[in-house]
Amino acid sequence: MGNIISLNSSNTRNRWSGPCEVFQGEACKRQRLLSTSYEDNLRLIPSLPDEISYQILARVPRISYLILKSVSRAWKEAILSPELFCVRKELGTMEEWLYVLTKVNDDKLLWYALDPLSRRWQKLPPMPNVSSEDEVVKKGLAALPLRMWSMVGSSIRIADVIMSWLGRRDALDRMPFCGCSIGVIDGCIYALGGFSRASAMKSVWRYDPVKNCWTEASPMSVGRAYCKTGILNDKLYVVGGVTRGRGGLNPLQSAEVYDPHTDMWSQLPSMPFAKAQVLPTAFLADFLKPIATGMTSYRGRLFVPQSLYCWPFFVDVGGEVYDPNVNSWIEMPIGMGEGWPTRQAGTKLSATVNDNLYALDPSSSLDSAKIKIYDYEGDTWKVVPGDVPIHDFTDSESPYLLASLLGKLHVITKDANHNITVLQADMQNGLSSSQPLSSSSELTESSSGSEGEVWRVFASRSGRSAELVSCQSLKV
Amino acid sequence: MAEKASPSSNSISLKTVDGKIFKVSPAIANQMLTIQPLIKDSDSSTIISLPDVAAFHLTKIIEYLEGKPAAAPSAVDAFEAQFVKDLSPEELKGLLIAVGYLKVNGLVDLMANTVAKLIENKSVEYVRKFFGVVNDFTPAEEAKCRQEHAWAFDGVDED
Repeated sequence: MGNIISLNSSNTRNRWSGPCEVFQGEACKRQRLLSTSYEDNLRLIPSLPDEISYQILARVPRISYLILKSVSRAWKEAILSPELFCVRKELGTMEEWLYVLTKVNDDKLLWYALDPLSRRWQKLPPMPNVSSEDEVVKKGLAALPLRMWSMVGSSIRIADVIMSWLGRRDALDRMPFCGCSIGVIDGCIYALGGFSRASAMKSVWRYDPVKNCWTEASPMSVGRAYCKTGILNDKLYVVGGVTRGRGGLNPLQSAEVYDPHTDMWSQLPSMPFAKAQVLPTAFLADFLKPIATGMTSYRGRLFVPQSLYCWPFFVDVGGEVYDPNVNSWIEMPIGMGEGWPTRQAGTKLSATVNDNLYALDPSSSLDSAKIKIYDYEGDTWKVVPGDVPIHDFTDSESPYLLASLLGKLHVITKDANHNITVLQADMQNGLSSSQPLSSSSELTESSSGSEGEVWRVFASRSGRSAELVSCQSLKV
Repeated sequence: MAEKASPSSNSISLKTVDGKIFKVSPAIANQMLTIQPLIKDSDSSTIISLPDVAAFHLTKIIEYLEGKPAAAPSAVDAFEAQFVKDLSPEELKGLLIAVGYLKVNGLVDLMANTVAKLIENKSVEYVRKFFGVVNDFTPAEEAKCRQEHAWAFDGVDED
């Protein structure tokens, strides 16, 4: 026996930084992880290199992270770190969740996340100040000073109270309680504009699912409530909405785009509303206001259905299409605009799943809602066989929502027991455009059976007083 | 079983912390990334000492490295499932540390997956105890952290 090579003794603290310091080919990424490994007491798991611990953590379902955050400081830091989510991306363990915005107790906005793996719902933290100051918002500014003064304790200096009051008022001015719009980009949910008291806001709030918290992003150029959003080429587009002007609420024709990497907004050409320009009389043009009723990102362009609006009437006037390559608007294909099913209050809802554009047609009678798919070549909306089991068309703001989740179309609605229900469409049974809409006997047979053959309840939760507002899916 | 590895060619001798010597082929040794750089400088008389690896763990590692290529591609999953099936949590943890230390090709993934499944619905206390993690939160910090979790699942039905 000759020489004996001993790898670093187990007594030394840096025993993991042995001959092979990094995984091959991943040198850059791992450097930071390894930099902490000299301090054994700072390791995620004693005696284990952090890079291995990250390999473990990245394989744990995301729903467990809120629990695992409490293990130790190092665990909390790891779970909040972008590095961990980079490892998840490399491993393909990213999870797509559904985020549903609801309105409870009148004006309180509350987010729920649905984890499709465990079918569990997780409440998101409220947008800052919204929940605690909810009543104040409702009562309006007049009630605020009284409420504040009643809270003044002997130990609080007046200056602090005034400071906090000013700060609070400022925050209130930027907090939506209705009419905010939702967009998902760059791994975050954005809540844009909305009404606070009576004014439409410019403010934008960003929810980061990694950190599980809200931060404020750059505001839009104008206050908007009920604006329409869409994602194209990794940018968030916002069109229309209403703002408060002289003589009440004015619909907006303007559009702008947000780049999450620069946190900057840029102006787009306004929607021309060409149809509204040719109205017969000036009186009518003044009387009927053009409004964007929806927006969908489809085939690399933004499709915006439009209506003329005179409370409480809506007249559909087709729509317009924004093409980012030429930075201009053209008229929407006629069949698309005319056939786009209308949800309540004139809004046009849609979801793009695997490059197919879907909308839900509530039709005239209950329990017979249909999904329609847009046929681009024929410029028509085609009915997808099978009823969507929607039971509740009461006067809620949004009786149903559409979402693309896990590559499938989902309808979120409330069932007969007022539970929030997520219905999943089984594409095999006829919702794909590749083997579609012809009356093949097999298709008719499967869809004429029970509704469960196309639609199944994917998840549900007790809805109580919650009203659906909007939803988005997000993969991190 | 390690002794079965062909001693004729440059077999590598690995010495575990409990004093056992395993002779493995360079092909096997090369898949332990930590000792890879030492192999080319060694000859048959070299003994590489592994202070953090017990004989039990090295036996398992060699079993994996020899068994996996022998399994048909369709049987790899079954082989891996079988490989971890009878390991106790304590053995899993010890093997994980050995595998993490030696950086064994493929086995890191398998062990990480197995351990991840083990902790996925467990309490904070279980995870701390399992890994021997010391809770370094102040009580206030920990309460805040747990509160975040309690809030998120409060009032949410878990049918």
